[in-house]
Amino acid sequence: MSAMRSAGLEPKLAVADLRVSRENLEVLRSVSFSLPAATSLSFIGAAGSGKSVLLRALCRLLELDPLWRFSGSVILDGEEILSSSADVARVRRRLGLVFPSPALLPMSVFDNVVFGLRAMGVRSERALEEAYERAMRRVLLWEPLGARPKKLPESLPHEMRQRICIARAIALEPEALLLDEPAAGLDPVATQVLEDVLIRLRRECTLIVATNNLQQAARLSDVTCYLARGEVVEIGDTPSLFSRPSDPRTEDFLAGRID
Amino acid sequence: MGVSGFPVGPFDGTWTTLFSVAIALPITMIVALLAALTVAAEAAGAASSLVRSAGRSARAVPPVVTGCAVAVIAAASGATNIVGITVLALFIACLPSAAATLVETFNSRYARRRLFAAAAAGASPRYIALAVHIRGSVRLIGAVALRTAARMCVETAAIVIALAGVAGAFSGGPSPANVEAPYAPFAVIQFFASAAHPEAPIIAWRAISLVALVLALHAAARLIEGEPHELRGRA
Repeated sequence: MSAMRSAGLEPKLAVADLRVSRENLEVLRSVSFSLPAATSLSFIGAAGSGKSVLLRALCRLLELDPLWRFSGSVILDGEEILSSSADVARVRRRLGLVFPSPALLPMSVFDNVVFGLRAMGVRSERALEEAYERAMRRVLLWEPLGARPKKLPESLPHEMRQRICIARAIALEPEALLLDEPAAGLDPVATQVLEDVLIRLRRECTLIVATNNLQQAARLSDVTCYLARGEVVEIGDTPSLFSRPSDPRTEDFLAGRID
Repeated sequence: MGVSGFPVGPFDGTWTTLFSVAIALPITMIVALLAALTVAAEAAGAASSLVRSAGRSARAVPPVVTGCAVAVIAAASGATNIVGITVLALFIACLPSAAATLVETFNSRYARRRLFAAAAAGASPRYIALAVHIRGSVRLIGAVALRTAARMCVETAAIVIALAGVAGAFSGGPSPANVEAPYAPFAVIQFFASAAHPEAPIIAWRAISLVALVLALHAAARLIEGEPHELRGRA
């Protein structure tokens, strides 16, 4: 990434000195990193290391709970998105977040997928149907579910529900897709299907994945970042970080040696 | 209930109760809904904290006490419109519990998950309130409305007795509104024994119909509450 800087390219996402706390407990400590465009990034780390909080901080979802405090800078395509003047709804549309367990809304599959578009004021049924089809094809659900599935989304398998949530996020054509433990609770076959979808998506938009699954991080990302106790311990190209970690703490984590 | 200015037919009192509840319920539910949505969407910052603390404080006082106090103060201040006084008392007495129940509904685990999902899709707090909270909780809101209606019927009976007591006190008759604790039960017994005895069958009929109505409202609330949306469609 430093090479990219020297070549004069602006990073897609630049995070500087991001600090997040809740009730005086510091959860993220001066997190800084930058990510080039069309690059996928995985955050790895033990539970409680701050991966999920970092994703929520990036898309400003922490503001839904007034107990969270944050400071620092997050620049997306040259625009500061943490400032009070930033349009929070637009930030959230630009950085689509998918939660660990499928967070479906109490409505049909179609209404779930086009929810964000309706929220931003799209009323044309034709535009919504086209966006729905495009998103469902990208998550490989168009064939099994079709145009207006009659089934309630709650009755679908866990893995399909998670793909509907991904479809809802990508229907907004986000600049980056943030995935928080996207395969949590899935069996290996369902995980494989989901990863196939994500590998296709990473060609189209920036993926940022928080995962406990090291193999998944290796499969999905170009760059991997190891977080421990809210700090960036090491960040680098995925093959290098997994094969030759420069920090002994990263080496210990990859080897399963945790204090 | 046997005091001047109040109807004495077996159904007249019931109609007065239903009329008061019919006016107070929508007002209470609309205000409670707005307060709960303010808290759920964290849309208003300070307003949200205010609603939370007001809810906690208001729930510390039993609604019967609040309702009676409002009615007695209103009547003692010279207000004469019985329905108006009752509606005001019902609104103030039942608003905290209705708002608190709706806050719990909108802050349930599933509702919070829906809130985060909708916010992550770029929806504004107002859109989330309408398209997610209300749409996703229509049945629960309906159940809260029915339970509030049931509570209002019970509160009305208590408030009517209080108002009757005030009327009795002003007319020199026995009063159940004697709030000096050691004497209150005797005052109530004396009131019914002396003043309301000839109307005992009517009072009994009203009590039975009130209890039946309250039970029916609670049963209807349980019926429409049904199964949570999240569990529907699962095997």
